[in-house]
Amino acid sequence: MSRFASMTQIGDVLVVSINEDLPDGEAELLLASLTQKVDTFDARGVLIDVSALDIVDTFLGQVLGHLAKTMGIMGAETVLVGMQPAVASTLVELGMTLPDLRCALTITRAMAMLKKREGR
Amino acid sequence: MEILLKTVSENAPDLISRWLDIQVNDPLLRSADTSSAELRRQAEEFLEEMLQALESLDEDTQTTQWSGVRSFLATLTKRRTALGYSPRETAGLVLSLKLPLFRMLEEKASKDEYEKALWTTTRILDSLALHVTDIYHRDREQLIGRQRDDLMELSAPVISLWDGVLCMPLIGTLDSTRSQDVMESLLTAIADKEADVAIIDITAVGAIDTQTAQYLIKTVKAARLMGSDCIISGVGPEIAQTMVHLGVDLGDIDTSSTLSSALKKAFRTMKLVVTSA
Repeated sequence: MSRFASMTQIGDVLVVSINEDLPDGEAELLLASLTQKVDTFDARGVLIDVSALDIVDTFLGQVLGHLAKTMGIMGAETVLVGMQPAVASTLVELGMTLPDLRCALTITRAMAMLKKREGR
Repeated sequence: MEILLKTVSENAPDLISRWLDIQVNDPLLRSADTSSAELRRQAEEFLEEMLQALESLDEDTQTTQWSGVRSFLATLTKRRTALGYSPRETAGLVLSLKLPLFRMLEEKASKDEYEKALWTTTRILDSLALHVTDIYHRDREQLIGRQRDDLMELSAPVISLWDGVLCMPLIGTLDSTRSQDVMESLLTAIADKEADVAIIDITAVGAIDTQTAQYLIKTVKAARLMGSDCIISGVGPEIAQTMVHLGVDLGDIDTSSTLSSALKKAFRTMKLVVTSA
């Protein structure tokens, strides 16, 4: 992966850490390689860790929304992890409440969330 | 300048007793509230510091040569302010030295020297009196700043109700600056304490307008983006009616009428059960 994002696999969950604001092209690349990985590993869930981001614009918000939708179609659930308070309030100010996306405070909780969903 | 230094240094005890006379007889200075021994000590200390500064022959009271006098006045002002003296009374104390000093200069100096010394003395004493009011105002500014900070903190405390349950009781009216503060401190607390549920209690909020409601909704949505559930509690009958009248769309935001029912909801979300022992 690029310096903008890194990916780890834990069980059947893919953990993607976004390290800095993604330029336009990178977002597309990330989406492409993520769908590939989900397909290869038959991943059940995708965790997107955004705790390192202190700036988020509407573009990245949109990318995250798309990502969640695409993963949903492929049968994997997406959980957004560790959004910073300032980022959250900015996104809401911009009118992006990402209603389709599930959010969690920490990776541990996000994992628990996915496990619970599987158990059902 | 030289004649001023000479006059003060040679006649210090005489000058002090004349100055004390004036202090005691001027009702505006409220000298009766301070003991005569204290007044004498103050006058002696002030003249001593002033003599040291005058020896530098520097007329500018802002220089380091005058720092002794300035810090003496600062301490004096603070002490007298604490005792309830107004800045006018403390500055007046400094200015009351003019009359005895002028009289003494008139007696000791030639006419030519006297005129020059008069101007120098006036400038020095005026500037020291202004320093007193400066100190007073700076102290007040600091006090107001501290109180403003205290008020801000008081107005939006975040309380931990349970492991993972935060509560923020809001009191009074919410304007946009305060709403911004409230939102920020709640979101920061959620991140710090890793709270599953945050309850915003508006029981003590008197009235709510569309803008305030909008802020509350934004806070709830931002909390949700961070992965925490947010409940607005204490929505009384009046506020509920106002919200409907205003046409505020609360959407799928969790609300409840009392804090206790909000806490029950929080327990349900966290799959906690309360039983009697």
